[in-house]
Amino acid sequence: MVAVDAEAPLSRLSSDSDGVAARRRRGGLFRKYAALFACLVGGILVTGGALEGYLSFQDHQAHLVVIQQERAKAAAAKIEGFIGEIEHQLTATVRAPRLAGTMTPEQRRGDYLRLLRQAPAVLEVSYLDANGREQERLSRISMDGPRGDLDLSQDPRFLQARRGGIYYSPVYFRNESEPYLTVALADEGRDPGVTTAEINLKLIWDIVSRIQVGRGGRAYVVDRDGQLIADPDISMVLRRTDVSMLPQVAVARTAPARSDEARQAAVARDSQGRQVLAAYDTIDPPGWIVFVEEPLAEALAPLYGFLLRALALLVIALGATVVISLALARRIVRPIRALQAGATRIAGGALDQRIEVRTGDELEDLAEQFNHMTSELRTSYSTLENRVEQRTRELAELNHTLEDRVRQQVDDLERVGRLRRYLAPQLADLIVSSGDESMLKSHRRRISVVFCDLRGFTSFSEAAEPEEVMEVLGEYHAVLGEAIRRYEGTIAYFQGDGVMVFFNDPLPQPDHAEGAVRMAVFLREGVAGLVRAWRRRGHSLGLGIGVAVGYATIGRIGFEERYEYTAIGSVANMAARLCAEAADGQILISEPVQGMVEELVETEQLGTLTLKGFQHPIPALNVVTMRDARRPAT
Amino acid sequence: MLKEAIPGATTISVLWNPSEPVNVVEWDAIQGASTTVGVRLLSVPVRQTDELGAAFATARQGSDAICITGGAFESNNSDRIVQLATQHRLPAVYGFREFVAKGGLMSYGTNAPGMYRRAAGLIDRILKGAKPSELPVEQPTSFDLAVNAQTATDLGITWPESLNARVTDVIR
Repeated sequence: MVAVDAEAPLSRLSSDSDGVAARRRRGGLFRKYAALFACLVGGILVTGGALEGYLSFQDHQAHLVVIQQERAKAAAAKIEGFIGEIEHQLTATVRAPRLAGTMTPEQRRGDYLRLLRQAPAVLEVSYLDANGREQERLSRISMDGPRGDLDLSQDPRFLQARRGGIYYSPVYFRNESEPYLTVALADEGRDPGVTTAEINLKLIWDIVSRIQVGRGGRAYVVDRDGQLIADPDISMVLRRTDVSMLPQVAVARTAPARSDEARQAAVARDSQGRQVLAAYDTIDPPGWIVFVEEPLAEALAPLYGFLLRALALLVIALGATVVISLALARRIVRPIRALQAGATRIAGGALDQRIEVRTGDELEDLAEQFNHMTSELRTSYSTLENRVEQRTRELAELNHTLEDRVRQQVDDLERVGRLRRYLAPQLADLIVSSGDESMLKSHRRRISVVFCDLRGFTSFSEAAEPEEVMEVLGEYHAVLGEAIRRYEGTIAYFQGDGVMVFFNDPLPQPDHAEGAVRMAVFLREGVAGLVRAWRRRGHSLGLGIGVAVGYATIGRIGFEERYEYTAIGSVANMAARLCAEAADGQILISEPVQGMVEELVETEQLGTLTLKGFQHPIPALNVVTMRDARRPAT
Repeated sequence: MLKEAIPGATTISVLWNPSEPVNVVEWDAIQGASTTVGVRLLSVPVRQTDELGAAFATARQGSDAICITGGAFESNNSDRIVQLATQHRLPAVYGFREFVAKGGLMSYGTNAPGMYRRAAGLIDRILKGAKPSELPVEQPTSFDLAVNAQTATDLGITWPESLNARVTDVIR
C-alpha cells in the first residue's frame, strides 16, 4: 500500500480526533436505550401495579368488612339459636297439644321436670295462675315449691306474657354477679296462667367464647341497655362491665333498625382502647346486639400482607426490568457499535476487515453496505496505486529517455560542433542528424582540392603588430568562411593564412571541380578587395590559390577531441605546390582540372612547372575569369 | 330430694364439719329448707376423721337418712363415709357424683371437675397479676342428680317418678 501509506498519516489524524470524540459519546446510546426501556417498562409496571394495588386494596378492605359482618351475623345466628331452642322448649312444654281438659298440677310438674331435663339453661321454672300467684315452682338450686306469698300480677312477665307471645325480661344479675333472663309464656285460652323460666345466660358465654374471630378477635353480646351479657372473658360479664360508651355500641344501639346493607363493619375502639374492626348484628327477639371485634392490625393483616407481596413482586419485576432492559439495550446497541467500530477502522485506513453483524434486519444490510463500500474503496485504492506506479514507471522511463535524449543531443551538438569545424555546416548537421558517421571513415575518392594562402604573410606577421595580424587574419577568414560556406567545401585544415578545402567529400558533388574553381574565383575577388584595403594600411599582402583534382584517401586523423577530417594523397600536394607557385591574384589549376572546367573558365597557359615532390614538370594554367563572369560585390 | 327418695323419712341427719365455712353455709341452708320439706334435722358435726364412726352410729340411731354436706373434709374421707353409710344401711345424699360412684345412694351437686377447671383458670389469672378482689365469683351452671342403682336396690328403695325425671346420672 505504497500510495496509501503516503496518505495514511493524514487520514489517521482525522480519525483519531474523531475517535476521541466517539469515545466520549460511547455508551451514550446504550445508556439511552437501557434507560428508555427501563423507564418505559418500569413506569408501566409501577403505574399498573399502583393502580392494581389501590383497586385491590379497596376490594380487600370491602371484603374484610363483609367478612366481619358475616361473622357478626353468624354469631347472632348462633345465639338466636340458643334462645330459639329455649323458646322452642318452653313453647313445647306450655303449649303442648292436649286432648283431655285442663292440666293437673302433677301433669304440669311432670312437664316442668322434663323441661328442666331438656333445657339445662333453665334454672327455675314456675307457674303463675290467672291471678299472678305462684302455684308451682321447680328449681335446680332452691327448694321446690310455690312461693305463695309472691304476687306477680303486676309484674311485666305476667302482664306481657298474657298479652301474647313470649316475654323476655331485661337481663338481670343474680347474686349481683350472674346474668339471667326471665322468659314467660302464657297458656292458651282465655285468662291464662303464665309459665316463667329463669334462664342462665352463662351458657351463651360458651357460645360466644367459641366464636372464632381470627386470632385476637372476639365476640360479645350486649343487651338493650348496653350491658355486657356475654363475653369470652366471663369475668367481664360478671363484673357487670358497662360497654355502652364504646363507639360501636353507641352506634348500634342508636340505629338498631338499620337494614343489613346499611350495617357496615367499622373501625372502633375496644374496651381496652385498642383499635378494632367491629361489626354487629341484632339478636331478636331479646333485642340484644352481638359485636364481633378484631384487632385492626390483625384484621388488616391480610391487606398488609397483600400489599407487601405486591410491593415485593413489584420490586422483583422492576429488578427484572432493569436486567432485561440492559440486555435488550445491549442487543440493540451491539450491532450499532460494531458498525461504528467498523466505520472507525475504515476511516483509519484498515480496509481489509469486514463488519460482522448478524441481526437479520436493516442493521445487517447496513453492515453489508459498509463492507461493500470498503471493498470498493480497497479496489479503487489498489487501482490508484497501480496507476500511480505505472505513471511513476512511465515517468522514470521518460526521464531516462529524456536524459538519454539530452545526452544524445549534447553529444550531437558536440559532434556538430566538432564537425562544423571542418565540414560545411549543412553537412555537419546532416551527419549529426542522420547519426551516420560512416561517411567519415577512411575511404578513397576522387576529389578537388583547393589550397590558398596569403603572399607575404610571413614577413608581414613578423613585422606587424600582433593586433594587426589578428585583424588581417580575421578579415581574411571571414571571406574564406563565406566562400567555403557558399560553395559547400570541406575544410581539411586551417593553418594561419593557409587553408585546404576539398570538394566531393563527404557528400558527393558531381561538379566538384567546378565548385572548387568557382570558390577560388570568389575568394580571389573577395580577398582582392581586402588586399587593396591592406595595401592602403600599409600591408603588402596577396592571395595565391591552387586547385588540383585526383584520388585521395580521406578520413579522420588525429586523436580523441582533436580529430581532423582530411585528405591524404598527391592531389593535395599538387594543390599545395600550385598554391605556392601562384602569385597574388592567381589561381593555378592542373590540367585535369582544366579538363573538367574548360568550358566554364578562361585560362591562360603558364607552361610547366617543376613542383617539389613531382618527378615531371606539371603544366599549370591560371584561371583568368569565369566565362559567365559573375562579379562578386566587393 | 332425699325426702322425695325416702318419703317415710322423718328425721334426717346432717353430717357437717363446723370448721369448714362451706359446711356452715350449707348447714344453715339446710336448716332453712327443712321446714319446707317437713323433716326434723339431726346435726352430726364431725371435725376429725376418727369421729366419723361415732357420727354414723349416732345418725343410724337417730335418723332415717343422712345428708352429707359437700366440703373438702367430706371429699377427703369419701371412701370411709360411703363405707360407713353402707355399713349402717343409711340412705345418704351427697354433694358430689363421686360419692355415688363409690357406692353412695345419690348426690345432687355441681360438676366438681368442671369447677376445679374453672378454679384453675382463676388461679392462672391471679398468677398473671389479676387481683382476686376483682375477680368475680362464679356460680355453677349445671347440676347433676346422680343415683347408684345398686345401692338403691340394696337399700330397698323404690325410686319415685318425680325424682326419675330429674336424674342425670345412673350408676349401676
